[in-house]
Amino acid sequence: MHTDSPPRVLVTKIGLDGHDRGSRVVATALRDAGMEVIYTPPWQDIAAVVGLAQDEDVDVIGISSLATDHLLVPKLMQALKDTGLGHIRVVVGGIVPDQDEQDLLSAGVSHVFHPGCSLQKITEEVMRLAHAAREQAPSII
Amino acid sequence: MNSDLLVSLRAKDRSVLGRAVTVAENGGEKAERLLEIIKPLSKSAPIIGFTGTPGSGKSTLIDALVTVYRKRNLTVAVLAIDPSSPFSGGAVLGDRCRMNRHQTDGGVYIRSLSARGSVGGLSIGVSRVISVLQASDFDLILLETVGAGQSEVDVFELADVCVVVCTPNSGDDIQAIKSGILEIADILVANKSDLADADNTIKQLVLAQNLPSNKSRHVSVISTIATQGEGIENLADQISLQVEGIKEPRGKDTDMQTRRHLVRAIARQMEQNLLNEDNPKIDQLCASIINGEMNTNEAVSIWINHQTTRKTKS
Repeated sequence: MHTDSPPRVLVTKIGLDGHDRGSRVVATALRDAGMEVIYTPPWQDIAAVVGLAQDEDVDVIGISSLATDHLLVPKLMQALKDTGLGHIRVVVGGIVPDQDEQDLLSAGVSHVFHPGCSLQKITEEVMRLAHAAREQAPSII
Repeated sequence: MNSDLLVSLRAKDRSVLGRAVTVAENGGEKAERLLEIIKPLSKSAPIIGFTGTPGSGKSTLIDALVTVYRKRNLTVAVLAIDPSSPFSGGAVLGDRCRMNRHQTDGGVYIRSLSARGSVGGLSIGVSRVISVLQASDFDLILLETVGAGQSEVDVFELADVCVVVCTPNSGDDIQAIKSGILEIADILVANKSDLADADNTIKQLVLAQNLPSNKSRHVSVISTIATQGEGIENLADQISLQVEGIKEPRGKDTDMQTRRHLVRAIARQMEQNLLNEDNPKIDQLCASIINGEMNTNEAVSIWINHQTTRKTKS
């Protein structure tokens, strides 16, 4: 039962954009796939996301970005590494220009979901990444 | 390694604390080991429970209270429980949306918990999680239940002080004297008191508390506007008064309380076991119900007889 506890996913937005309908749709889909979704208001800063990830012990962070906030994600990746949270998988969804995608992946982002991607594809990928993250999470006892 | 763990918990290392809460929440052998390790650290910070209907403002109230406590230099841990889906078992834990001010404050730990199918307003592993928070040396533990209706009163068993959050227009003076959730309150908060009809709500709550009864404790009624921070200092003071009052064991029937607590804990554990383990008898009963050969009540009787015969045989 303990190894099968539901994946924990933080769904949030960083930067200044407040369009959060997409993140709500995804949060609901992840819930329907049996995951525990920690949902926050938009406008989080990097330090807040790191703090949330620590407190909530999440397996995956989903960043919704519709207005260039994805450009902040490499900073988030660095902050997670610096805090010892390198096992947490990060995915980005929304509007990410093709020329930026490679930069995100190089910074350590696991997956970028573009418009038109099905919810099923998103939930399957997040589920897979959550299990991978859990395998690598440092053990405390 | 164990001593490292204790030091990290004591220092409120957020990553370690977060992982420890997960282990405790998930239960099983690992959780037992963890609880054994942290036992020497256990202290007893007062646990303040918050319950009330969905949307009554529990999370907003807690957010405002945390701000007040931080001004008073107290460290605070918050457990915020939201319901899990009856269909998928998943959950959207949204209490963070109202507790958005303390993310980077090292003196505040907030954790969202899914009820994971529990129906009494709390979650399966919550008492284990509280043990971890006790080991982490917080001054106060605030426990927010899922939005509760009339009878989700489990929080009464865990919390030292129960705050029940009410809102205007939530019923007349008869609602205010019904059994259940209002009865477990040590403090009644009339939140959203800027809304029309708030005065009436407060009056009804106060009147209901003043009816002659054999209850020994005094229940105070406090009016707040959580979104504006109004009445929150007063609420914090009232909570402190109640906490001081509980240095004496509070006037509840402790034997019966302990018994009820234990029996429920056993029932919860058995529920988890029966849901997760391979059990041919359960499979057989399920098949009979699905085929229309018996109803659930009949299946329960057969199950209980089956258990009793097994016991007498061994």
